Amino acid sequence: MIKLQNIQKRYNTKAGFTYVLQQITLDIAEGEFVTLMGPSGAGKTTLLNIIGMLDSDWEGQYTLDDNSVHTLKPRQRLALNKQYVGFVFQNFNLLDSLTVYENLEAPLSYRNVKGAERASIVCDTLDRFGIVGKKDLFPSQLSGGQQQLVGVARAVVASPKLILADEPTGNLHSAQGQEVMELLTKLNQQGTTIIQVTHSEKYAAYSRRIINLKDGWMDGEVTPRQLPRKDR
Amino acid sequence: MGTLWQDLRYGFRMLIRNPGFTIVVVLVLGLGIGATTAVFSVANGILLRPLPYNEPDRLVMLFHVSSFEQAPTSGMNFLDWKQQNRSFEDMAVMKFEDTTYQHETGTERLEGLCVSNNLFGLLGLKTHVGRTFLPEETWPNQHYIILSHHVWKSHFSTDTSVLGKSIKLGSNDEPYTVVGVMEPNLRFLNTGWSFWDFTEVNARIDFWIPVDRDLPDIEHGGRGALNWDVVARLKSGVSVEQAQVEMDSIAQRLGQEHYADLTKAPGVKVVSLHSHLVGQTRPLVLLAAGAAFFVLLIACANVANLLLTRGVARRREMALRASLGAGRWRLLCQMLTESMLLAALAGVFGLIIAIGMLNVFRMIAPDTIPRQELVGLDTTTLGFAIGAVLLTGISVGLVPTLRTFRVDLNEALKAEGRTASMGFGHRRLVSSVVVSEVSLSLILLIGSGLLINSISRLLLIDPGYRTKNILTMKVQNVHGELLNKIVQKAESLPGVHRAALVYGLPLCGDVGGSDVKPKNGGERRQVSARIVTPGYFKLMQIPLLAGRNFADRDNSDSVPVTIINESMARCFWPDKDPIGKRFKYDWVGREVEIVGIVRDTRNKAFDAPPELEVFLPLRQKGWSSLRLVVSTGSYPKSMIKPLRKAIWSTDKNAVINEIQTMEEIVAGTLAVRRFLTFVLSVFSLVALILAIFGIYGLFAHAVRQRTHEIGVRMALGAESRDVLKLLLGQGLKLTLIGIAIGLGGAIALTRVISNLLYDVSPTDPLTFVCVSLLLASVALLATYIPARRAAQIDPMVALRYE
Ligand SMILES: Nc1ncnc2c1ncn2[C@@H]1O[C@H](COP(=O)(O)OP(=O)(O)O)[C@@H](O)[C@H]1O
Ligand SMILES: [Mg+2]
Repeated sequence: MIKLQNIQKRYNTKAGFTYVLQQITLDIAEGEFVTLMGPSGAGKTTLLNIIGMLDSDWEGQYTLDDNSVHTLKPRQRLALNKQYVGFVFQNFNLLDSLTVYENLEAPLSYRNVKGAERASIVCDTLDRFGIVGKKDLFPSQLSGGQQQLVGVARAVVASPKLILADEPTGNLHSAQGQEVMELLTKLNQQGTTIIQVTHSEKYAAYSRRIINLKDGWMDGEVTPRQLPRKDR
Repeated sequence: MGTLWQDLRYGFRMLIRNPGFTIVVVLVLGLGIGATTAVFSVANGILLRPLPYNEPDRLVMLFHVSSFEQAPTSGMNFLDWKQQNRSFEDMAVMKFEDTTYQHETGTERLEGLCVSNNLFGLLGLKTHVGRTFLPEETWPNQHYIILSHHVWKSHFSTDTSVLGKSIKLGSNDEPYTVVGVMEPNLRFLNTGWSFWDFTEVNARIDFWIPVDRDLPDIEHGGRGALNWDVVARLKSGVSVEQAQVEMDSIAQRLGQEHYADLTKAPGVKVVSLHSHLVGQTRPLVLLAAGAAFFVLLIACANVANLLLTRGVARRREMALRASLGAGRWRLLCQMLTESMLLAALAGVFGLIIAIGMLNVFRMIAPDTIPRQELVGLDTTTLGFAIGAVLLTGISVGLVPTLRTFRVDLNEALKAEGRTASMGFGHRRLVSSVVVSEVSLSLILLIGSGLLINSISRLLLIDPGYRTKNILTMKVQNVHGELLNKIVQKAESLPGVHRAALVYGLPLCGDVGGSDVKPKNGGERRQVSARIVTPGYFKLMQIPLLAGRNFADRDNSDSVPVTIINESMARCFWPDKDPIGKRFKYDWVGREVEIVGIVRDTRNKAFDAPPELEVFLPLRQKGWSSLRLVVSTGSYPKSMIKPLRKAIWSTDKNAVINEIQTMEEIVAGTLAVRRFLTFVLSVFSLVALILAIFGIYGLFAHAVRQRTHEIGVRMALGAESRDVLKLLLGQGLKLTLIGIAIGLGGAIALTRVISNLLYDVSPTDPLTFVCVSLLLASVALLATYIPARRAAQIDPMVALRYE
């Protein structure tokens, strides 16, 4: 589904060009569950944003199914993002001034889903994630785990084919983190392609491929079985 | 003291460190302070300063009130009032007089007053040299005169030997003995029927002559000749109201004795001199003050908000200071010192603006606004400006500081970037500032919109006579057959189509008249009179509806005739043909026969309905102060020189002045309205600009605060237009609320200007709708710019934005 070839990303800084991604070549098939790992500043978020088409300032070739993303204009890329992608963020990024229900409604409203259908999808999703009782609360009234639950629910509400999760468990206790990972696994089993970033090998083990990044370079690929046992 | 110094130093450092912020605040606040100070200075000069007379609070004017208007009174009435009252210490009269003075280089027209001897003492005015009139120095015995300082200076080189000498005045070279010269720069009362019926204090008065001792004898019209303005001084302890009560009873008694044939006896109105002089101006000045106050409010709102948004940024600094042990009082002092510094800088800038505005005011204010020479920056005005600075400094500093305190300081310290998005409370405050700015400027804009609307309607009025390509000039000191010669000569000039002489040219204030008793026994009605030569109606394109025009045969040997206007015909002869009817007209002193009827015209003012009017032929009712009117080809002013030459070649003693085109005269009558419209428009424009900048600034800030949120929404699939819709929707909502409140305020407040409006209701829907649309679109534009910028932001950048 995702085919990256020689993706390069650089920033213009006072000291000249700094490359934050170099020669990233990567294939991800539909239905895969992939983890990006690497030290802070390695370029994981940058890569995720490129795949999610929020970033359009890079070089190389990126094919998403039949779309040559690198030939598309930023507007068209955003349209494609809408069609494919759901984002989960490390710091949840829920909209403070909206209730849980309204947060789930937002992605649908941007996809021109009509009122009645929208309501039924939101209710289904609330139900699926077991947060019906929280629907009228504001994000500030929820615990971190609950907030990330809403964050994942919001990412899937528009039935994306691809979920990009940037350290979804980074701000959570381990019990809460586990819950979120199980949720992602379930979604993956239902056919959604998932790319996550995590620092935890325990959570990385939920996926089937681990791609290591270091200073913007790909630094090998492993499967969870090859990880040291201690974290499993 | 040490801490104050420290606060000041720190405050200065903060201002210098953020020069952009400082400049914006000083400009915005300075504009507000400048506008209010300028208006206060005008109000102070015109309304508040006492009149330049001895104990001015006790001075009043007394007017004769007939069924239709308030006017000067007759000499006979004055004598009765003076004898019968107990309320007044003294009562004096005066009347406009003019004459000519022949000197080496030519003939000059002098304007002066015929006054009763006690007037100077009553007002408390003294002479510069010489003395005022003695009781026995009255008219018939010998002619006495007091000169103004400027006449003394220009014609007698301030030579005191002129005292006791006699000078020759008028066409008959009558000798007048000079008894005194008044103080320089004397502001004297003048009377006159100007458009606004102002009695001017600053009129140019060249001379004073005494009244006849037996006042009534020199009046031919008896109690009908309303020529004398009455000035009186109340006994101490007597109020205007008490005097009014007494004068009411005197008027009633006089009514029974002398006006038995009237259904309603004329009354007397006692008006304090101050309110008579400035009363008409008061609402105008108050209106300007209201407008300026609104501007200041908007300026303060803007600045308070700027400080507030900066306050958010400085919350950590405040929290840090608090954690280091600074009490709230210390923090408050620190913030107030800063805002006071800003306000003081703004005050200096504001004074510059105020001086500029006052200069413009002096340039454009119409002469009919009294006492404008008193307008300027004086200590009172400076005091006001300082007050405005203190008030704005405190209000602008207090609100945001107190708001900052409401935030838990601990929270602020702990908080990281994530809380950069504004709290609900802050957003509500920002919203209310936007709403109030919109509503305040809407009210001002509607006010000026209504005035502009009125003026444009007034300009479209058909007054009933021609105003295009007509030149007019006052011609005096010419008599008899020479007048007709002047008309003939003028008409024969190439470039002149027609010429006529008239006393009572429209909109000039000249008018004669007296009341007329209908034959069928109805109530007496005031009928204005104008004196014309036969060519007048054709020249002014006033159609003759019935009967005939005047002709040369209507002279002093033939039957006195008159042409009346439609209103007069309708009022006195509703079912009959007035042609050939006769009536007694006191102003002429005998019966006149109606020979024609002309269409009604708006002679008194553009916005006043036509009055009952008669026209009299110049050959039958001689008059010495006339205006020559000529209709010309394209450029009327090109005829000034040839006309002057023609007049002087007919009579070298002729005095020519007040040369104006009819269009200039029309413009002059609209001057006060125009001026006010201008003032209000300027203020509303300033308000609009401030409001727009304010809304823009607030919105740009609010949008910046929401950058991260916008990034999240874009990651969730929002496209630019979704973001645009979201932000514009918010702006539109606030604008609409502001407009709704502003409309309510405008409905309540435009009543204030209702009597300045012509043919436009104070709640004119068209004006309300158009102005609202204008404001809404401008406000929307102000929100569109930051919204668009936000909508085009790179989602990556937005997501990383803290
Ligand atoms: N706007 C920018 N300008 C310059 N460098 C940037 C900018 N944004 C990110 N970077 C750099 O890009 C690199 C990769 O960042 P990121 O993808 O966020 O790393 P990770 O998510 O792996 O921690 C970092 O070194 C960061 O400093
Ligand atoms: Mg990252």
